[in-house]
Amino acid sequence: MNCQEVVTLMQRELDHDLDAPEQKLLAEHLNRCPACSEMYERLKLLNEDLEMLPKVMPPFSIVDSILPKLDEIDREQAATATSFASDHKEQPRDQRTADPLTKTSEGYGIEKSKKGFRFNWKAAGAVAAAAAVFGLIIVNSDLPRTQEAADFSSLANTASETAQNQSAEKAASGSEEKMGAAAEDRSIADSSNQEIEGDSADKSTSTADPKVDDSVANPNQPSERMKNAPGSVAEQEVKVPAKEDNGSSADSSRVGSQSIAPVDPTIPPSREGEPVPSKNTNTGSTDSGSQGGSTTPEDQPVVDEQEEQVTDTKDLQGEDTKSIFQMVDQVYSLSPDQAFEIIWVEGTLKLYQKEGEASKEVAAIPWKSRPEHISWSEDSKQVRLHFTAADKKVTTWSYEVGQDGFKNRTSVTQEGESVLHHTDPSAEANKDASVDQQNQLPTGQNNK
Amino acid sequence: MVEQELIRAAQSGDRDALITLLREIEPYVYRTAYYLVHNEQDAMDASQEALIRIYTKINSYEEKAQFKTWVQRIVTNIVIDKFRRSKPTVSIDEHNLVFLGKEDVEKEVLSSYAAQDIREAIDRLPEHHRTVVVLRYLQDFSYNEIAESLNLPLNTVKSYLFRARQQLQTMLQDYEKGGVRG
Repeated sequence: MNCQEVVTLMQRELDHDLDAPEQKLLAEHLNRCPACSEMYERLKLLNEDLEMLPKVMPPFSIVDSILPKLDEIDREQAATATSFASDHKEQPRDQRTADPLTKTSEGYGIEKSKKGFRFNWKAAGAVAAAAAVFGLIIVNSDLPRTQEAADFSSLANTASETAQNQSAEKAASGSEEKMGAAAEDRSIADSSNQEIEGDSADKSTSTADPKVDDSVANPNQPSERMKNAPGSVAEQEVKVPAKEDNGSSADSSRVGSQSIAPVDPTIPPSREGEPVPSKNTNTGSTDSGSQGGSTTPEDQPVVDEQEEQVTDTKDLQGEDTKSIFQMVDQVYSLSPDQAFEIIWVEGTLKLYQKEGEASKEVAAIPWKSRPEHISWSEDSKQVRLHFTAADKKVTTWSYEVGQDGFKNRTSVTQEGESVLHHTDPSAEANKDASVDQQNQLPTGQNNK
Repeated sequence: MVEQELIRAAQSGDRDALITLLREIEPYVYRTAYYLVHNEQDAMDASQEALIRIYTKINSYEEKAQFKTWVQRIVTNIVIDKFRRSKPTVSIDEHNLVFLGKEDVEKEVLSSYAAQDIREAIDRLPEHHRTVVVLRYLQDFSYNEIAESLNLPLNTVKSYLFRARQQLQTMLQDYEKGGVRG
């Protein structure tokens, strides 16, 4: 064995790659060859130094730094998937429920796309409707207009109308003509519904009617809601114009909570109203009881018309509209003891702890899929995210929540129809308001 | 380094799991990038790009390969493609790899090389040699894992690694003599 071959043995020995006989060979050679022995010492030294190289760590979280980028990627994928989604628009929306387990990236794409693109023009339509309503309201009511303009909550609700007036004014102008007929409250309500629908169309059955009408929004969840409505827990899907929503998801959640306290029956809608395109999708049937007021829209047919109109305007309004009216999709729920609020918005699940009027963010975790709805255990210690897959399997993810944030995630998947138990905090408050809000209208309903 | 279960959840669309996964591999990604580019800013940029690529390509990972080698392949490819500055590496004449002269044998043998010198020396290695060294020493990869990461034959990996160590040893020896430094 010559020295060159021995060098290879040395190298392999450094990597613990020699078997016993080879080690013996190496040792024997090193014993009688000072040069190789010397070389081996140097290599061992180098090897030790290399092994001791500092395991450098990034100066700050790289993942955190790319989260916005990742969101953007999701949106882009969504956009790509949009065309695909539109082709299937006729399908029942329920089937496209977001399910974290089964959803493909495409699926996410669909979800997001609605938000980004279609949303916008529909939102514009809603705004127009709101404007029309506003006009009516001005004529017909003296309600205080102190509410924040931003909230487009229930258009149907007169109270909310006042609040919305402001916002409506801004945006309505352009689209008013198209909406023309909107003068009727019903039509208005419908349009708003559509907007929502458009947004969430594929998203799922989620209904987020802050007020009362889950049933309307979601075929799968019939009148459950009415029963539960009295409960303090609210589940809402809220769509808020991006403007307001930006940076203030906390605010929106707060708003929701406020609405719970029935301060003024007439006002609540507007507050909750954060769910802008509030839709009063009142299908006459469900609403009948609580809401319904004079302003409540009952005709689904109108909706269809609206939708078409919206579509037409879509192209015209383009990007500008988008920037102005971009909607943010949210799912909100208040714990039964009213100590915590949970909100899903833009791929993040946030937990807030109520402190008087304010809310403090306790924790936030990434959660890509939009929950169909969110519910709480009776003791307010566990929150559940519900998803219905296309095959009707219902998956429920549960977290224990508290001041420590989210803990102990578990999940359960069940076959069969999705049964949603909604309790809407706002329902109580709004009982008298005679407002139906529905953020989402199931396709079936929509098509009348 | 990462549970299969987490990877599967991430692949099935659980964004939560995917983000968690990225957080777990982040230090490993950065470490490789840092030693390959020898520059914090570029290392951060390369790491971001690698993590984003992993985020978007997670479904292309197949379990027949180890996840960690799949990750390292992505990082090294990105660094080699985009971040490796075009600075010429010092070509080391293999004929210089002669054994020590007799003079100051003892002194040299016993002294440890400064970490800084080692980093600089690594930085001057030819691309593939440097990459192999980084995977071997910063990721504690075996020959096979390195081969899997770089899509190289096993013998090539050994060859690169052995040559890299000899080159490093030579460079460091020169440093000590106040020679080729810089």
